[in-house]
Amino acid sequence: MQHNDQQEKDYLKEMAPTLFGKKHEIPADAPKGYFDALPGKLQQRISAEKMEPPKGKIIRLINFQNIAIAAGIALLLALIPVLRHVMDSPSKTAETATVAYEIELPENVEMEVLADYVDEDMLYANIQTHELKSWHLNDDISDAAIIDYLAEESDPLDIISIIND
Amino acid sequence: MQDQDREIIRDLLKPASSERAFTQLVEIYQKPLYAHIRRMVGNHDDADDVLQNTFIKVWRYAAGFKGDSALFTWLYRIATNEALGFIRAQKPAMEGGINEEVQSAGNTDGPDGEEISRKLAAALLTLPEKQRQVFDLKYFSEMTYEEISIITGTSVGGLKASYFHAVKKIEAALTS
Repeated sequence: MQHNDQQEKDYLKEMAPTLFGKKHEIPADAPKGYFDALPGKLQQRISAEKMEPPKGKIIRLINFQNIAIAAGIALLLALIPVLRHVMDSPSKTAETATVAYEIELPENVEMEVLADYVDEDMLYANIQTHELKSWHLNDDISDAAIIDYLAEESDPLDIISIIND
Repeated sequence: MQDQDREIIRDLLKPASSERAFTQLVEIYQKPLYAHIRRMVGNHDDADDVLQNTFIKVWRYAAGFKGDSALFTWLYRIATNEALGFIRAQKPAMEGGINEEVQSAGNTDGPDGEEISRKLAAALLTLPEKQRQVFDLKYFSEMTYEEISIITGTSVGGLKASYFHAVKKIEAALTS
C-alpha cells in the first residue's frame, strides 16, 4: 500500500508539477470570533426550532403503541399452556398409553405364570371394552406386549376382575 | 471509532448530557468542516449557512449513527451532501460571489504564491461538483481513497479517476 501511495505521488508530481511541486492552500479564514460564537448560535437555533434532543433507539421504542403490542404478545405466550391443556383429548391419552405396549420384555419372563389367570379370548374382549386401540386385536400382538399391558395393572386381582367383567 | 468519539455519541443520546456533548462535538469539528465547506461553496456567508445546517442535521440524526465508520467520516459525509445540495440550488448565483472571494484570496508565500492560490481557488470552483468534492478531500483534507469512498459512496477506482481528471484540469488552469 505504501509503495503504491508513493508511486501515485511521484506520478502526480510528474503530471502536475505546479500543483504538487509544493503544497498550496486556499485561505479560508473565518471572521474573528466566528468559531467562538458558533456553538451558542446553534443551541439558540435548536431551542428556537424546538427540536427534541436526539434519542437512543431504546428510548424511542418506549411508546404506547409498542407497549400495547408487547402486552398482547405476553398475553398470547401466557395463554399457550392453557390452550394446549384444553386441546389435549382423551383419545390422545389412549394413543400415548398404547405406545408403552411397544416395549419388549426380557426373554426370561415366565409366560406360563399368567396362563392361569388369563383366558386369551376373554382378554381381547376386555381390552376392547376398555376402549383401547383396535390394532391391539390383531395377531401381531406379541405375548410380551400383552404381559406388558397386564403389568400396568398394580394387582393381579384387578386383572381377574377385568376378565370377569 | 476512537474512544472520545464513542463517548461524545453516547452522551449525545442521553437527554441529560446531549447539549454538553453537542457543544463539544461542534468545538472539535467546526474548523475542519468549515474549511472543507468553504472551499466547496467559495465564500464565508454560504459556508456559515451550510455548516450550521450540517450541525443541525447531526443533532437531529445522531441516533442514526451506527458507529461502523469514524465519526469524522460521518460528519464529512453530511457536510459534503449539504454543500453539494447548496451548490445545486444556488448554481447561477454562485459565480458572482465566487469571483469576489477568489480575487481577495491571498497567501503568505509571496506574490507568486498569492497568484497561484487565487488561480487554484478559481479553478476549484469550475470543477464539476463531484470532482471538486474529491479533489478537496484528497488534496486539502489529505484523506485516503478508502475514507473518501465512505463519505461519497463512490468506489476507490471511481475516485482515483475523478481525482486524476481534477488534477489535470487544475494544473492546466494554474499554468495558463
